Amino acid sequence: MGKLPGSALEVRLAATLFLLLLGLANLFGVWEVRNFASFTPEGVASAVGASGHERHGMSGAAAGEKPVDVETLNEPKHHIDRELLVQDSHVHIPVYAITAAFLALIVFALRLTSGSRVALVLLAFAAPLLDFVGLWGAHLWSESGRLWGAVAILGGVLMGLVYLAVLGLTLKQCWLSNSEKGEADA
Amino acid sequence: MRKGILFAVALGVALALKAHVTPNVVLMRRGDFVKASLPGATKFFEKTFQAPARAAVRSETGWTPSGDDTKIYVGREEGGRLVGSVVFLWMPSQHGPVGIGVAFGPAGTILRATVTDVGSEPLVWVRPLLRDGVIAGLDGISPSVSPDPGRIAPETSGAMSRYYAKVIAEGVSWAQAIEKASITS
Repeated sequence: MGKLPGSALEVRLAATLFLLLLGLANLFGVWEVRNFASFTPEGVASAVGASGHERHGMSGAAAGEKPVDVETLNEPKHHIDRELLVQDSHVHIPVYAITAAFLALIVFALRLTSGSRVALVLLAFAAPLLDFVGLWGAHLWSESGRLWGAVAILGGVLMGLVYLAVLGLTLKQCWLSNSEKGEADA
Repeated sequence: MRKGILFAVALGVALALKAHVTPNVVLMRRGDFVKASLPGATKFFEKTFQAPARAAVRSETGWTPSGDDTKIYVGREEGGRLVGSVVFLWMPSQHGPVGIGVAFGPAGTILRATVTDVGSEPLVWVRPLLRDGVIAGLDGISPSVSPDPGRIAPETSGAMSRYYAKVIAEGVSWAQAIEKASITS
C-alpha cells in the first residue's frame, strides 16, 4: 500500500500513462456524446426511454394513416431500444468494472488514508452501477425518465471525479512532490 | 477550480452516456429507400398498427412488433391510389440490432429490401450481402412465400455472412407478416 510514489520510474510511468490514455478516451467520449446523445436528464430519458408509440401502447392508436414528410425520415435518430441496451450493458459493464479495478489498484498504491482509499474504491465501482441503473430505469419507467436520466448523469459525474482525483493524486505524488517520488530511482 | 469541476462534469457525463450511444452505420437512409422503392408515389403516410394486426403478427412470427422498432409507411399517387408500402424494423442479432427495410407493392409482393443500419462489427459480414444497397435475391417474392436465406447473395460463403443472411431473411419474413396484417386490418 502507498508505494507507487516511491516506486521505480517505469512503474510510475505505467500508472500515469494508463491514466492519461484513459483520459484521452474520455475526451473522445465527450465528442461522441455531443454527436449522438445528450448532456441532460431529458436527453438521456429520450435516448433510452420507450418511444411515444410504445409508451402509450399501439392498441390505443386510431387506425389509419397520418401524412409524413418523407425527407424527415432521413434525419438520423439514435434511439436505443431494449436489445441495444442489453448489448451495451453486456459490453460496457465489464469494461467499466476493469477500469474501476485498475483505478483501485492505483489507489492502493497511493499514499492515502485507509478511509480515503475505501471511499475512492467504493465510488469507482458505484459510479458505473449508478450509470446503468439510470439508463435501465429511464428505459423501463419512462414516466420518471428525467429522474433516471439524472441518476445516470450522476453516475457519470462520479466517474469523472474519481478519475480526476486518481489522476491528480498520481501526478502530484509521483511527479510533482520531490520528497515522495522516485525513491527507487536512486 | 471552477474549470476543473466543469471538466469533471463533462467527462463524467461522457463516461455515463457513452455506454448507450453506440451509433450504427447507416447503409441506407430510410427516406431515400422509401422514395427509391415507391417512385410513383407523391404522398406519403405513416400507418398505425391496431391491436388485431399486432396479434396477427405475434401469431405468425412469435414476435410482437412495437412502435419503437417497427414503422410502416405508405406511398400514394396524387389521386390516392396505393403505390406500395415500406416496413422498417429492427432484428436482434449476435452483434446488436440490424435495421431492415422492405418495400411491398399494392398486392404485398416484395419490391426490394435493404439493410438500413448495422453495427460496425458485423458490417464486414453484412455488406457482401448487398448489391447497390439492396438485398439481392428477394424481389418479386409473393406474400405467401417465405424468403429463403440461400437466395441472398449465394456466392458469399463466409459463415458469419450466411448467419446474417438468415437474420435478414427472418427480418423480411417478419416484415411480410406486418404487411399482411396491415393490409387485412
